[in-house]
Amino acid sequence: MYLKELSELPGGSGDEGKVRDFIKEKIKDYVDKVWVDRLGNLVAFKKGKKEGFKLGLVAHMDEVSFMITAINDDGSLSFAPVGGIDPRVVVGKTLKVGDTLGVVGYKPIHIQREKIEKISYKDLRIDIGARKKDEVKVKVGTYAYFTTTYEEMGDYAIGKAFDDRVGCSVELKVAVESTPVYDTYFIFSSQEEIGPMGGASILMEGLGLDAALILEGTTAGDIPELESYKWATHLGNGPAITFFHSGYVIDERIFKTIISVAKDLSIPYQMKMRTAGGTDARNIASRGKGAPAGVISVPCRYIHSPVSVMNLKDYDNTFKLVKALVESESLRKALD
Amino acid sequence: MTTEKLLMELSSVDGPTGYEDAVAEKIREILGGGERTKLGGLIYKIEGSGKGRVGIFAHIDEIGMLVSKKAGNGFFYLDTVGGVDPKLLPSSKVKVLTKKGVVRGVIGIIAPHLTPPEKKGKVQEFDEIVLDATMSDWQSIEVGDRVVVDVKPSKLGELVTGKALDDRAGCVSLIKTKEFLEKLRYDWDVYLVFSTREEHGFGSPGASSIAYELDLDWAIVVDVTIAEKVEGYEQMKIGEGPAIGIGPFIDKELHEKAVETAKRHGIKHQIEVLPMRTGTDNEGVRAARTGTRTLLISIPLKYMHTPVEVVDPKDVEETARLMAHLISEMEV
Repeated sequence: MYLKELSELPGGSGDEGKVRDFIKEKIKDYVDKVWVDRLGNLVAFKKGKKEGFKLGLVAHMDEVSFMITAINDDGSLSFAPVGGIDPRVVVGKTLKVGDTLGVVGYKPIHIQREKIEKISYKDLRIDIGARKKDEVKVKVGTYAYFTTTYEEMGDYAIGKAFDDRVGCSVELKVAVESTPVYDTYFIFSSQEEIGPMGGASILMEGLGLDAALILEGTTAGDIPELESYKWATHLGNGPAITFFHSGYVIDERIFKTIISVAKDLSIPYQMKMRTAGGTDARNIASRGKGAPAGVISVPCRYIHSPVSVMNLKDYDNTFKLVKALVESESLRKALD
Repeated sequence: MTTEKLLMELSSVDGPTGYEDAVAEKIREILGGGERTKLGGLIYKIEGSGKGRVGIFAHIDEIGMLVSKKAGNGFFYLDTVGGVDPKLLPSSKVKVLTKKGVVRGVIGIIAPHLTPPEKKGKVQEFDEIVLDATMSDWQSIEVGDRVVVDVKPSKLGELVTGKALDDRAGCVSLIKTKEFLEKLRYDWDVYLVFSTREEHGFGSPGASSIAYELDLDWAIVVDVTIAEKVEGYEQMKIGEGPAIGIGPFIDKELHEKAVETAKRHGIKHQIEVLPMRTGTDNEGVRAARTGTRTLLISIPLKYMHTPVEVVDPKDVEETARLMAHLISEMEV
């Protein structure tokens, strides 16, 4: 739902306003209450049919982005990543710097006298067509974004920011189309990409959840460059279920419940086979009084780059699985 | 059409070396005529008095890639045709020009989460770059199919950015020369030559074959030049006008006439020193028949051979104005 719009909106860590406003507008008529907390998380509350259990769904709104760090005398802009972005992905690409278009040019191959082994941000500049410093209206601290247009091709989608707008999209669809058994908080968190203490670190204190499901767009790596044993997930094999990731061992009761619901409904699923990366599950489990959390992800190739690829059947199956979990008592029973 | 619009239109067409048909046809449509040549180029003749013949040349081909190997399941390995810098490729949308039409794909890069620290930022060579066409009709892709980066041109302030401005910017200057000539008197029959096969780097078969056929009295080759600082040379700069070449492969008298003409008409220009080969079609045209006197004029361009080449439309227009006046004022 609204995956194209969500993918194309700019929203880096700390600059989630446009994404937040969009989701708020689309979700408000389907929930009982919507608010934004002090760290910029958007929370939409939907009352359940029964009381006594509070479930949270969490997808982060922010994408990896860049920030302008210096305006140079020649009118070019220096920049740094906000979140983990390999500098190789930005060479020769177009970026949107605030409302201004820029390009990351590169020294022509004809005059590269010495072999270049490594790309690093200190050697890259954004060119906005200015020839000297006083022509530049952009200020330091401005965010810069990939400009990729979202496209669907067959069962696949190509775009930027699937990590984690695909999670936002699934969560929004579940909020709109599900009838939760218990009180459910649809949370769209801020500042996930800049480390473990982002917006979601205050959720437990404020909401006191009993359990949470984190919805993510996660790494795939199912390409010829990697031997198949090094793959994290495989596109087309269904939602990826995490058992452990950086900073949190998934609560076994939640992990097993996700799998049993998937099996009951014959929804294909796969294990996330690599443990790299972390999610807001850490914040749910370790902040406030803490609550057990699980992670369900749509596999995406090439995340944290301008062209991620995902499978729309995986999206549909992730939606079905999450909706089923929200509409059943199974998570509560597992945690009793 | 404005110069900016022409630059955008021509940047949007795909024509890797040897596969330039779409570009030639697009230019023919813009000019409303022209003859195709045996090697795929296009010649548009502007009648003069019939007493002498001048040709102005720009190449229509762009750098590209080809599918070198199938990796299975919709993945392919690539190699370069012309000087493609592999550093520019990761995280790009691409088009594969197959016999059954265009097949879309991407060149991805493994997420940083799965990249070992020592590999982060590490430059990949062609044998490490993978085309992912799993989302498309990848069964149509064959080894040898050409591949181009799928990128649309845009405005960059007053400038234009996009792929293939090397040498579509030159092509636009030819189209604009025709417009300027309409307001001037001239005796020469003028041939606008849109030639093929420049980027594969040797012999300029596309341009030299046409130069042979036309048997010209003199010629101007228009290409782009590097607008970055090159150690030991004056920097050619964007927005400072056409770069008029001087060097052993360029006719001295034509060079001097071009500089005089620029001065006479208040055309901002730069002098580009080329002590050895120019690396353009100039040499091929020059060696046609028993020799053809040539002048090389270059449009300054930043980030050459990247998907974000940058030119100033004013430089393109001034290049055209200079050529039109030079043609008008050269005695037959």
